[in-house]
Amino acid sequence: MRKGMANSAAQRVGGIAVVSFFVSFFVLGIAARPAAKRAAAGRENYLSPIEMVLSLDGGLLYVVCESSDEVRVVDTQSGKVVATVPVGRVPRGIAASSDGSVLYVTDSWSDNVSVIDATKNKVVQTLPAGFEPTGVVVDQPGTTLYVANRLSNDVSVIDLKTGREIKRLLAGRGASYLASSPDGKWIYCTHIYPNPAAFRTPPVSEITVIDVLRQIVVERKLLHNVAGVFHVAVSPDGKLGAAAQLRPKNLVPLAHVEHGWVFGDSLTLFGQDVGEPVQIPIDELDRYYALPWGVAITPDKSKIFLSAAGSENVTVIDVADLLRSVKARPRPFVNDLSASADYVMARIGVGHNPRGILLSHDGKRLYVANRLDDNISVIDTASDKVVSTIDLGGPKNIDAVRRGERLFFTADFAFQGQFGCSNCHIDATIDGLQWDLEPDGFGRDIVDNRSLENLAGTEPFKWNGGNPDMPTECGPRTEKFFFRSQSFTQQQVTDLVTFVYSLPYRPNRYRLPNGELTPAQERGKSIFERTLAKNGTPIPETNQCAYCHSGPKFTNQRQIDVGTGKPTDRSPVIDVPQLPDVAYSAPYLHDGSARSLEEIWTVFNPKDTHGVTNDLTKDELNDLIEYLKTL
Amino acid sequence: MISSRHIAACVCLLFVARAVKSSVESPPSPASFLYTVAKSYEPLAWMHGGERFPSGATILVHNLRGEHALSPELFATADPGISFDGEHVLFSGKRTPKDPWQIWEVSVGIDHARQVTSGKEDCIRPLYLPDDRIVYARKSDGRFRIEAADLAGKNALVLTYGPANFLPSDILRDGRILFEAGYPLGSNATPEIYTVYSDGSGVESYRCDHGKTHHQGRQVSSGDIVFASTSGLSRFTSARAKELALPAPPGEYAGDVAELASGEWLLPWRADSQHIFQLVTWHPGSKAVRGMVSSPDANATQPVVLGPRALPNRHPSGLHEWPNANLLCLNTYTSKHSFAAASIDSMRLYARDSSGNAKLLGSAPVERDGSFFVHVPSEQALQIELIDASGQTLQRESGFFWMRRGEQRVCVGCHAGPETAPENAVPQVLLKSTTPADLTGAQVASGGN
Repeated sequence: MRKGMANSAAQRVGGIAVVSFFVSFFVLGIAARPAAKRAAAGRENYLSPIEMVLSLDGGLLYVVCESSDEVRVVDTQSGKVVATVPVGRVPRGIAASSDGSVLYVTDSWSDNVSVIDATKNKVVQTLPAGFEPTGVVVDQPGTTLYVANRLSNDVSVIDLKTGREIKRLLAGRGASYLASSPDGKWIYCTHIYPNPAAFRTPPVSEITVIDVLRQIVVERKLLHNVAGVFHVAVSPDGKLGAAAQLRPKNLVPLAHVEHGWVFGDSLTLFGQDVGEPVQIPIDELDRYYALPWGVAITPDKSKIFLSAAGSENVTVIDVADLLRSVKARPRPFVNDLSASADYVMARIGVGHNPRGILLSHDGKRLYVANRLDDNISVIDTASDKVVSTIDLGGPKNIDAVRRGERLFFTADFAFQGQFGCSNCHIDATIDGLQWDLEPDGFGRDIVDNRSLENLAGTEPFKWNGGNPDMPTECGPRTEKFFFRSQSFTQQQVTDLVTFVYSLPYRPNRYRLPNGELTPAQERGKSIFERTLAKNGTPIPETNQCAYCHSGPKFTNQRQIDVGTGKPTDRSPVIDVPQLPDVAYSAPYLHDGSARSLEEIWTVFNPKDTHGVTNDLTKDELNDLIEYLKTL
Repeated sequence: MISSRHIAACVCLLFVARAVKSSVESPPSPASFLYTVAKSYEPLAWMHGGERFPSGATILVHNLRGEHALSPELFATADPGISFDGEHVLFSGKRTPKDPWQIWEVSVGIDHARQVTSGKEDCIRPLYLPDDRIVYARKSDGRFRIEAADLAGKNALVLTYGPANFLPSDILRDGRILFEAGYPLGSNATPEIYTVYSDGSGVESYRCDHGKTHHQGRQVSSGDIVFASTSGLSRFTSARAKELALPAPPGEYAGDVAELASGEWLLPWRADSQHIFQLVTWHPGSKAVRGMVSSPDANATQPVVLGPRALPNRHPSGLHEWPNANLLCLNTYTSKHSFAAASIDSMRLYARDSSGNAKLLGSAPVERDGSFFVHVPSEQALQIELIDASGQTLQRESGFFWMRRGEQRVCVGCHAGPETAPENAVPQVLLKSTTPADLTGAQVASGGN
């Protein structure tokens, strides 16, 4: 729903707004219950199409549906769903063997790959992978599968004959998307999070280049001042690569939004056509194309298509004009918002939260997965028009969670549409960055981005605990100091909060299947719960780990000075964060100054004010960390 | 009681839609719109505090039933502005020839207008803001400044500060006020297009493509700003930093484009300066204009379509409860001017004294990365000068800017242009201190040359 329409609707309902507000708390109460299954009781079971592949003859489109844990098979001629294949939890990627007979689907919350016999539309095998497998490609001989693991930051190399993972290649943080060179010699891996870096330094991500023959990483193309990188594509002649990416402006005070002040949407180009990698802007002076996600290059290399997940459109780039511009302009020019006029030839409106895009084999059709509409836009690549929309058969009722999800993922509400909630909370997680928000003063109160998992019962919010509840967090504060433009109506805030509170914990990979702890984790638990220092001295209750990090979510929901404040902080009193899934949310501390859990104590706890830890050996600290990872 | 002005307007009406030049195509189907007829029209007279309609003016309502004066009880009316729901009209009006222009409002279909503002000097060019407020230009001490007020004309907030004239021209869909003033800002020289938020913060040039005249700009549905330029009818697009001339038929355009449902533009046009303005329609891309309204002895100008339109975004003011303001410049070397590396040593800040002369408020160091951070007085004309290590001026701002009370503002550079996004780096000045150098004049400020 567009903002204007939403506003009108809100005005019409005027009198019942207050009732809705209170109803929301009832809804929240339901949404906040532990979510054993993603589709909670009473909720619509949406599909959320996210990635696609085509059959060899182009007659069938296989669509990965992230929310319904399945692949829907579409007849491209009729536009009808002809089969549904259940797979593992939260599938996110798909690849087809070179003969099209086998499909590989990454099940990101099952940590495996579903192998589908495409002739039977049936899962015939599951293959092991790392933590949160996402992107997947199969080599040209069809003997080896490569899987990008988002949470373990690596690429699994799986022997398809034996079904065994034969090695892991270290990638960057948040390894997520893979593309193979046309000759099959190289695989390019991109990452949704920046690599760990020194405090308050520009983020750097990378394109990890894998030599397929040797199965080793041979190059890391560093992407400076880049955080989230999404799909990557390579032209059929192998001379031009393009990766969709975000350039955050997290190091400058966010005093306003205009002039690309918060995010730059861009591509990194690499390959023989451009020489050294070059970043190119996609935005304009007064309009932004938020969260560039899917990339496709036409077979004749005449056009690049780029979906903007936050802006509900697809950008069309003229490759010849682009290459001319890249050669003519002095580098860098990624901060020149007028540059895109040289090479952007069209912007095509599509559905909500467009993600994966796929060209037909002849390049005449572009398929766009509208994740929050449960449909596929079909674009004629000659006219750059949407010619049809394939309904995948999801629920027609749009419930509060889905409405909130659309609000979360759209950039419609920020000034000139520059960014949305999901720019910082990528895929409703984090961005691994620290931001300088304006209300606190310039350069003061630097704050790390916090996880959104299972937030009910962790109030208040903000690192200083200044926001008592989520409607306050998402409402006026967001409008005034983030979006700097008219934002959500009260009803929309309610929907948004309903969605945010519906976000469950991701599976914890550090717990044993039987629920027991390993010996190291047991030792760490003892340290976490200890009341005496190693020399027998009682640890004051308020300085015991389990005092502040107590309760079901390991937070006492209070604000405490544990000595981690910085001279630039207005107050050293910090909100106690919850700990579940803490392993995935680096960096740590309120300002993100600790790059790892270990640094919390080895660097930032010299006086034992953040728990007593200086009497611990290195091994004991490791044990403590092993335990924390299980929470 | 019918005024002489009213009679004149009625006579004028007899000629409406008849005396179309033979070179102009026949009129299209009519739409409901308002426009201003005036025997004499000097569209840029406001730049010197002058009268745009020295012989008076009348707003006419044009619809399927014909035409009639919007508020016949008033001696003069001009500057029609339609509410976003299409139900109300703001305009400038005066009851008698001796009265100053004031802001009035009338509901569509109701004759009686309500006076919104009052005062001894003119209030002109009113526009609706999206949050039940209005914006207009009020003359004070002989100069027009822009104010925002509530619908009752109360709680007026001054939005522009500088030794010049300012006139609002449109409300952009992103919520900013598009206004006109001389370039350099603070002068009354070349008319240029600027933007400011509805709380008076964030004033800046819409584009830094200066030189030609740019005035009477309005935003059309594509998002482009269409305006009158030295080169004719021109536009600023979202994608480009520079003006793009529109391939409109020859003639003189007065900007103020109104977009019809058909996609055509209704706009004031005349063959040359020897003629008077008539209203024509033009379909962008076509080779001819089509006459809509003309009169043998009166200009037809300021068309606005009568009907609902998209509600712009409200601007949520983030101003703090501080008397002064903070300004952070990320990198003074990012500029359309060229500065040698490491050449900028410090910056000076000037205000104006009561005689209009520059008054030095103080100076602050510029860090090696080009950053500086200063605390400045609010709501007055300010000017920045960049200084080298020997105290010589490298560049002085040609115009002025201002900051609102409690405003915190960050600039990419010094005259970097709106097409330049910031580089993501912690400004060195903030690594030294998060407290700005005090240049409010409250104390002797120093730190540079």
